[in-house]
Amino acid sequence: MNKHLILYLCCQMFCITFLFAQTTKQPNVLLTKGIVFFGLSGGASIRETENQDLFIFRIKEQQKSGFNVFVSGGYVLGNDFGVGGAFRYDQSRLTRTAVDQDGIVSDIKEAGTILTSSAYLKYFIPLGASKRINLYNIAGVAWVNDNNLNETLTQQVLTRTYTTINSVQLGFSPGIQVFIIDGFATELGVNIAGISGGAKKVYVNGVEDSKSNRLDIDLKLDILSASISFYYYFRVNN
Amino acid sequence: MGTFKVNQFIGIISIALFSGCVNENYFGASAEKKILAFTLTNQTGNTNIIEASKTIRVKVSADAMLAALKPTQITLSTFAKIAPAIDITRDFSNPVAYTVTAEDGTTETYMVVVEQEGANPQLENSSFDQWYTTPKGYEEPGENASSIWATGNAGVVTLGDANVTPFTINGIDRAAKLVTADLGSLAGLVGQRMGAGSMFTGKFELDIANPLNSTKFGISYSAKPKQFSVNYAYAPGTPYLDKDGQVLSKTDSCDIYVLLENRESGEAKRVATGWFRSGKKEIDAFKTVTVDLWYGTLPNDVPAYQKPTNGLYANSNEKATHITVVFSSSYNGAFFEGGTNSTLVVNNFALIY
Repeated sequence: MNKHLILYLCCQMFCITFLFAQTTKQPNVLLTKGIVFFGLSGGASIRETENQDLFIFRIKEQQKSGFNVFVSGGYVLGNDFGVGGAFRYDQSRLTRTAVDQDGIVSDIKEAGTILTSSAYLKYFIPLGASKRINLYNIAGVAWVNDNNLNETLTQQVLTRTYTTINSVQLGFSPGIQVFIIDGFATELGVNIAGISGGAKKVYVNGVEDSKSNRLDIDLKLDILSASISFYYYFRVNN
Repeated sequence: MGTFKVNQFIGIISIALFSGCVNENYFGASAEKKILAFTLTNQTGNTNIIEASKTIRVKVSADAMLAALKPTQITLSTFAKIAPAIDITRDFSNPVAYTVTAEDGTTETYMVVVEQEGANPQLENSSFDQWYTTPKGYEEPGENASSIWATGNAGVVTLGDANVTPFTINGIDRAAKLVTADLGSLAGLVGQRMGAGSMFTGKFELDIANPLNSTKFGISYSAKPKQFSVNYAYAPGTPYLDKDGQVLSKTDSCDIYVLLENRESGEAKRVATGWFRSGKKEIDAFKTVTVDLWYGTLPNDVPAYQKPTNGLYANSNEKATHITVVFSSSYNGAFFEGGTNSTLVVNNFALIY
């Protein structure tokens, strides 16, 4: 479902791009030295479930919610080249009462946060003389702190599992930018390649249960990472 | 000034985001403060934890010194602590208080009430009058889940109906009815075609990967009976099927046996053996059978199935620590074979001293 939505949005984006590419009028903000940009994106979801049979257990009651906020800002150092930084915060919550095939009830509470901070270089490649539509590429480094807490109470026995993952990611994220009205741009980007390394620790009932390290070199297109952001470009000094 | 505001903004955002990160105490400290398991030295039978009244009832053997007993095992809610500690010997002549403190600091007090058995104890609910309903809807012998009696129902109900059920005699007296069930061709594919009705002292903890490991035979016990007796009726069923569903030319038999064991060293050493096996149809009336318990090494002429599989016998100085009482509607139930619908009804089991 998410893939279909993203593909649909991509198609829409390219249609808009095509239309704007026909115009020759330049936006009043060009990507030259002294321009500051600020972007925002986000999302939220809420799910409620009652009496859903999942074969090996039945969800008697479940509430699931989550949101994410993405804030990014930067400065154009030279023609079509800028630097910036970004924060992304993801939060998820789950409460579930489940009944297994033996009639045993489990009460589950789960909470998770992912905090990502990054610094990046951003190159713009104008498409046409109008410079309303630009391709861009971000090369950046990101620090990710992913924490998840699960508390399961089954037959009066509480199990508290805390997982923390700290990772560093280096990668490229190309995309397309369209100035819709003066100063305001919409950007659609996707992660295509990167190197990431991280350390994971799992604590069960306060005692370290396992730890693992990983290093991944990835060259595949992560279509699920595609996201639309809204940016404002403005000049701070004349 | 502009730069300062940007820095302030980034700082505030950062603090807000970091403070929102989930940590181990995100849901707060646990308020769980239950005693989940409690056993004492010289205990006989299972512990009965009555949560409603925060009372723990334990029976100890006739030779136990009530004034100097200490717990051998206490299981608490996660993160909870108990006082006094497990290794402290207490006087259990009167009810003894144990206070459990939850992770959040709240407390709960349990009273441990110890009852000393007489010299000739009987097993609880050995008349099979009490039955309780499990969360899955079938009945099990005993007052509640802490019953000393267990059955294989938890395994059988994954493929069919419970095959150990209460059986009412003359509208008032209750007995236990054990039926060997044909679990069908699906069970035959995994070599578990026949599910013998089985009831025993101990616990049944379902292990799907290794069903035979589900049965945990035996409860704490330290007396020295000479015989046991039980009222029974039996009808061997046909056809007799093996674990794969193949028909064999065998006649089924019921098994009723009592084993006394010493498990102090971790290995079970046989102290005494009493075994009754019969394939004779007895359905007109309940028949009472009385079986002698043989103490020590079994004679050579005793059938091999009565002998300990590990070959270990207790010496004369090693007393019984556990008793295993088993009723089965098919003597080869452990091999998932038996007569279809072989039926054993048992009532009023008694140990004779």
